[in-house]
Amino acid sequence: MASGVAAGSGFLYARNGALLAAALAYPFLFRQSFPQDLAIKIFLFGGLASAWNVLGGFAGQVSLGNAIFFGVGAYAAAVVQTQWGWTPWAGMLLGMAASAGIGALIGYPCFRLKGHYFAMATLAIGEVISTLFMNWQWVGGAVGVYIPLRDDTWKYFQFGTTKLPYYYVMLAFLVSALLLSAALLRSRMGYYFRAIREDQDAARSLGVPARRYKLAAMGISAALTSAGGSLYAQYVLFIDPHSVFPMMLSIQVVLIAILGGVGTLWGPVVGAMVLIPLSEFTRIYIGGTGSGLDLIAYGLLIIVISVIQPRGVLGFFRKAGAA
Amino acid sequence: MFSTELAQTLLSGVLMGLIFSLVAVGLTLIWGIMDIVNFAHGDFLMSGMYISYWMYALWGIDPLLSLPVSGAFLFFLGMVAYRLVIRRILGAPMLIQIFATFGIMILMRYLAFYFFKPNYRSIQQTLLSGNIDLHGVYLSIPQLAAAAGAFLTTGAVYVLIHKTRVGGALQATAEDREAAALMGINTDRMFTLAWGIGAATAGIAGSLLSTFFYIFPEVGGIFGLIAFVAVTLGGFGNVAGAFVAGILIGVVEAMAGYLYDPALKTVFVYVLFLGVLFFRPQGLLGVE
Amino acid sequence: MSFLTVGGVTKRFGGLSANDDISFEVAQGEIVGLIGPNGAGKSTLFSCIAGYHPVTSGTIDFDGKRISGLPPETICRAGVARTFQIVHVFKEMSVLENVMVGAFLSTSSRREAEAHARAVLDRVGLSGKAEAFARSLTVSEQKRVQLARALATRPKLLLLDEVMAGLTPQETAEAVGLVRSFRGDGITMVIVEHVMEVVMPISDRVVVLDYGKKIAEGAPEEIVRNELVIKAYLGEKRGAKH
Repeated sequence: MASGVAAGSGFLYARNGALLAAALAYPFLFRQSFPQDLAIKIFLFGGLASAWNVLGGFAGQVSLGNAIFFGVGAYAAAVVQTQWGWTPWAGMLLGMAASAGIGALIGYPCFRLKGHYFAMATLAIGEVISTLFMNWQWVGGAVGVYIPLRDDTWKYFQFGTTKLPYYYVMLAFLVSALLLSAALLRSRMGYYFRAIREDQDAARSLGVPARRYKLAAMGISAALTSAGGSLYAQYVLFIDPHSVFPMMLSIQVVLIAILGGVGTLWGPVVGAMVLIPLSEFTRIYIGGTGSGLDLIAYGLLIIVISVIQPRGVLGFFRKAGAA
Repeated sequence: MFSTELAQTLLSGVLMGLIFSLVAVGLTLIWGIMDIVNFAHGDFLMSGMYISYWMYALWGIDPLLSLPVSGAFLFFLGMVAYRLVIRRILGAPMLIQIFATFGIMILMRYLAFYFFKPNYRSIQQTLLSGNIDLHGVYLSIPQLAAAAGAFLTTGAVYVLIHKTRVGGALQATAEDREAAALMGINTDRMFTLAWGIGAATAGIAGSLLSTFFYIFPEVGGIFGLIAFVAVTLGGFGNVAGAFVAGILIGVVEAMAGYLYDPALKTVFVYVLFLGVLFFRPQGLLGVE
Repeated sequence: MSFLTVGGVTKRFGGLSANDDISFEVAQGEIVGLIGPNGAGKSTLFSCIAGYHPVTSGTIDFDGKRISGLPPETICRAGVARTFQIVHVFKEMSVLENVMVGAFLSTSSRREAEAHARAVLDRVGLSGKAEAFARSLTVSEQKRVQLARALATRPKLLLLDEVMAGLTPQETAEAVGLVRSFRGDGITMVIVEHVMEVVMPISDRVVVLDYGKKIAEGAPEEIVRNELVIKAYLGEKRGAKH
C-alpha cells in the first residue's frame, strides 16, 4: 500500500478513471451479444473473486464454500418473486443479510479449525446446503425456480431486449467490491485481517480480537457473494441447485484470485480477465456443448498454474494458505 | 419382519462400508505421509471402474480377473501424478496443493466424460452373481465378493505398513521427513510409493465396485468425499482408523436411508464429518 | 501496591508441571528479571500471564484486575504487551505495517497509527527499514520489530521474552539502553533471559525459576551469590557437557 501512495495518487486516479471510462464505453464499441455477455461474466466473477479475496486473501481463511452464499443470493432474489411477488432488489438485500448470518453460523465453529480442516469443513457444508436445497420443495427442489418473465423493467430487473442494464449493474457490482476492498485495505480492519492471516497468535498479542474479525471477514465476503448470486439469477432467469451451488463455483473464484494474485486489490479482476475469456473461448471453439473438452483444458490449466505457482499475474503472491 | 429389514440394512451397510474403508485407506496413506489432500482420489477409483468395465465389455474379461490390471495401472498412474505434479508443489502453500490435486481430478473426470460419454454403464453378468438367502436376508454375491476383496486388500496394506521394512520407512517418513532423510531413507521414493499404493487401492476398489455399482464419469465424487469423511473420522494417516470409520459410514448411510430418506443419506455422512471436525479433530478413534 | 501479582500459578501439560506454585509481585515502574536454566518454565509463565495458556491453578492480577482466564487480546487491551521468544513477525507485511497493527490499538485512524508507528520505529532504530517486508530482515531486526510492535500498543506492562538472545555485544548494549529508556516512559517490565549477565545490570529485582519452581527472588547482587541459583546454573553446565 505504501508503494501505491508513493506512485502518486494523481496517477492512480487518472488510471482508474481511464479504466472506468473504458468499461463504460465498451458496450457501445462492442454491440454484439457475445462480447457483452463475456464482459458481464468477467465483472460477475471479478466481483465474486474479490469477495472471496476479502476472506481468503486478506484474512487468510481459505474457504471452499463460497458457492453457498452465491446460491443463497440467487434463491433469495428468485423466491421472493415467485412466492411473495416482491422485487428481486428486496430479495437481494434479504439474501445478503441471510448470507452474512449463515456465514457467521458457519464461521463460528469453523474458525477454530486450521488449514486443511477449515477448507474441508467449508466444502462439506457447501455440499450439505446444496443437498438440502435439492430436497426443499418450497424453493422448487431439484427442479429449480423459473423467474416469471416480464417486459423490460427495472423494478423486477429483467431485460429481454438488451444486455445493457445487466452490463452496467454487473459493472457496478464489481466496482463496489473493489471500492470496498480498497477501503478495507486502508482501514484498521484491513490491517487486522492481514495480521491474522500472517500470524494469529502475534495478532492477538497486539489486542486483535481474531475471531470477531474473522467473522467480520466472513460476513463481508458472504454478503458480497450473495449480491452477485442475486444479480446472476436475474441475468439467467432460471436457477436450480446444480447451477448456483456447485462446488466448481467455490473453486473457480479461488482459482481466479490465485491466478491474479491472492490478497491483492486488483488480482481478482486480472484473474477474471484471464480465466473467464479463456474458459469461454475453449468452450466455444473446442468444447462443442457438453463434450467435456473445455473442462479437460480447464483441469490442465489448473495443474499448470499450480505447478508454476505464479505470484499472481500482478503483484505478490501472498501465502494465504499457510495456516 | 422388521428385524429382517433391519438386518438387511445393517449388513448391506457393512458390505458397502468395507469398500469405503479400502478407498479411505489409500487416501489416509497419502495424507498421513505427506500432509497433502488428494482431491483426485475418487477419480482414481473411477479409472479402476472403467478399466474393469471396458475389459469386460470389449473382451469379456471378468472384473475379478481385471482387478490386478486395474491395481497395477493405477499404481503407475499414482506414481506419474506424483512425479509430474505433486513433487513440484511439496513446499507450496496449502492453497496451491489443494488446487493441484483438484486440477488432476477435473482432468481425469472430464477425460472420462469426453471419451466414455456421460452414460451410466454397468456390468451385468459376472463369474459371481446371484444372491444368498440367509433366513430372508438377501446378500448379493458380487457385493459380498467385493466386500471380501476390499477387506483382504485393506489387510494387505495394513501388513505392508506395519510389518515390513518398506512400511517402516514409510512410517518414518510420515513421522519426520528430515529425520527420515538423515536415516538414509529416500523420502522422494517413499512419496512416490505412497502415491502408487494410494492410487492402486482406489483402483482395486473401483474394480470391486464395478460388479454392482453404476459406472459414470462423475462417480468418483461420491466416493472421494466419503473417503475424506472416513479419513477424518479415523484420524489422519491412521490405516486401522480408516478401516473402522469406513464401515461406520457404510452403516450410518444405510441406516439413514432406511430410517429417514435415501435422498438425504449423504447429508448424514457430512454432518457426522462436521461433528467430528468440531468436537474431535484428532479423529473419532485417534488419540491426541 | 503491587502492579502485577502472580499468585500460586501452576501450569500442567498432561502430567508435567511446567510451572509449579509460582508467586511473585511486580511494583509499578519496576524492571524484574525472570531467569533460569533452559526448561525452567519462564516462557510458559509468560504465556500464562499473556493469556495464551490457561493456568491450571492460581491467579494473575494486573492493575487491580483479575487477568487470568482472559483471552490474549483482552489482556493486551488491559495494558500488557509481550514479545515472543521465537519470532512471530507478519512476514508479508512491511515493517511499518507490522508496527501499525500495534498502533491501531489506541486509534482507528490510519494516519494517526502511521505517525505513531513511525515514531516508535525511530525510537528502536528501524526507521530505515520501514518500507521493507518483515521477512527480508535479519532475525535480530525481526526481534526489534516485535519489540516496536508491542511498544506501539502503549503498554503499561511489557513482557520481553529473550529479546537479547543471539545479539552481538554492541547490539546488546543498544538493547539495554533501549530497555532503560522505556522505564523513563513509566513502562513496567518483566524480562526473561536465559543468560544471567544480561539481565543483572538492568533489573531492580530478579526472580529465578528452576524445574518450574521459584527458587530465589531478590536484588541482582544477592541472586548472584545465592547457592541454589549457582547450583541450578552449574547443574545445567555440567549437564550440557555430558
